[in-house]
Amino acid sequence: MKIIQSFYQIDNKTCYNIGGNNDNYLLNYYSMLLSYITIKEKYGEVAMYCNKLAYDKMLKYIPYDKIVLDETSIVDASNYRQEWGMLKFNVFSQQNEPFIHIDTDVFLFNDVLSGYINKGKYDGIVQSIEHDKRYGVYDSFYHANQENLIKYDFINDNLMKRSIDKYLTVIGYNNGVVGFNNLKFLEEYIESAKKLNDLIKAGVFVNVKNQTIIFEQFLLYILSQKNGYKIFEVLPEDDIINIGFNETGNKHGYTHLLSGNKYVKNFILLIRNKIIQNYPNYIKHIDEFEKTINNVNFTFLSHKDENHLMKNIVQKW
Amino acid sequence: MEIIKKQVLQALTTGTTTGCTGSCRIIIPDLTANYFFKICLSQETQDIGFFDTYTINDYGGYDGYDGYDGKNINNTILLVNIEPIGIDNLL
Repeated sequence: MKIIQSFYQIDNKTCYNIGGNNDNYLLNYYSMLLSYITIKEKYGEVAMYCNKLAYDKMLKYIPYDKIVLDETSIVDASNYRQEWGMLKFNVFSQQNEPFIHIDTDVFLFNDVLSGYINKGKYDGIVQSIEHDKRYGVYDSFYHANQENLIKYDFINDNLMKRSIDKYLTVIGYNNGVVGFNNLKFLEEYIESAKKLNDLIKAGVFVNVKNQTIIFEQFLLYILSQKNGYKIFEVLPEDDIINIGFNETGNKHGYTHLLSGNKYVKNFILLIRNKIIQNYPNYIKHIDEFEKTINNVNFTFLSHKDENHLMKNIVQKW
Repeated sequence: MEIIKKQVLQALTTGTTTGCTGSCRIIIPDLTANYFFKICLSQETQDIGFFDTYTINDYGGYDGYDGYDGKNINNTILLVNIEPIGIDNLL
């Protein structure tokens, strides 16, 4: 199975708005390297799709098996904060065989993909179900746009209602891992994402709290639900329901430092230490990268539950 | 399942006999007696906590459009809300 990753650096933007002028995008290097290492160890080859800025600043210090340099103008500094997910669709549209795309902040410490790769009975793969009770990204979008979602043929509303009855909230799919065996499904997904994004930009859809999450993750859920596609979930739904997202990742050897987590200082130190201790062959790559880091302005983040999370880790250690 | 055992004393009745003077009666087993049991169930309550319905553990959520919730007075520490997945694997 073809395994790909992608990263396009636009100015000094990050998908997480840290505010102010800083060089935090360079901190992505550490998660990118560990992500590559863990995938390479389990699955052999990793192809990286990227633009030249990302390659020059970070990716050339990671020994990818294949680099596809690709300059695109579909996302620029003016719309990056809202539409950065479109960069992924740019990569999807270049695929003409089944593939799995893994985000560069995802680490696979166990073989969690063979159930999908070897069985071949699934149309696609995702990381897991996902919801957002705190800000209601999914809930508020669905409830505010229910009529238009039906009108523009994005949903089967009876199935949506059943799903809400089951989960007591509107859910989507997290695409930390996302892939397609069924290329017709992929084609529909790409077309629908462009259509939904255009309608959002035209103001047809409202209450869009996170544009990329809607046209990337919510869309994948409602599209596969509407068309009855069979989806493999890397993180089992029952575990997520019973022990939560973090513990499910711990149980299955799957890590995703989604959103701002990859800029949390303690988490970066854990990644760096992990590479040095467990994968010493890659230390030279860190050295080469860090030689280029001069006069940079990093704004490290903290996690609101950092004390609790770090305490748990130390206790296990 | 629980097996309930109950010892039943045989009911007795009276009968007549011969060989005695006057009106003599003896006590004999009542072979036609029917025995009825009434079982009453009583409840012992045990507090095993609150049953949640089929819900998903809270995810913390996406951090809204601005991407962060707060910062300190120096504008340098930003707080990430969204829960990391599998953080212990980094040990």
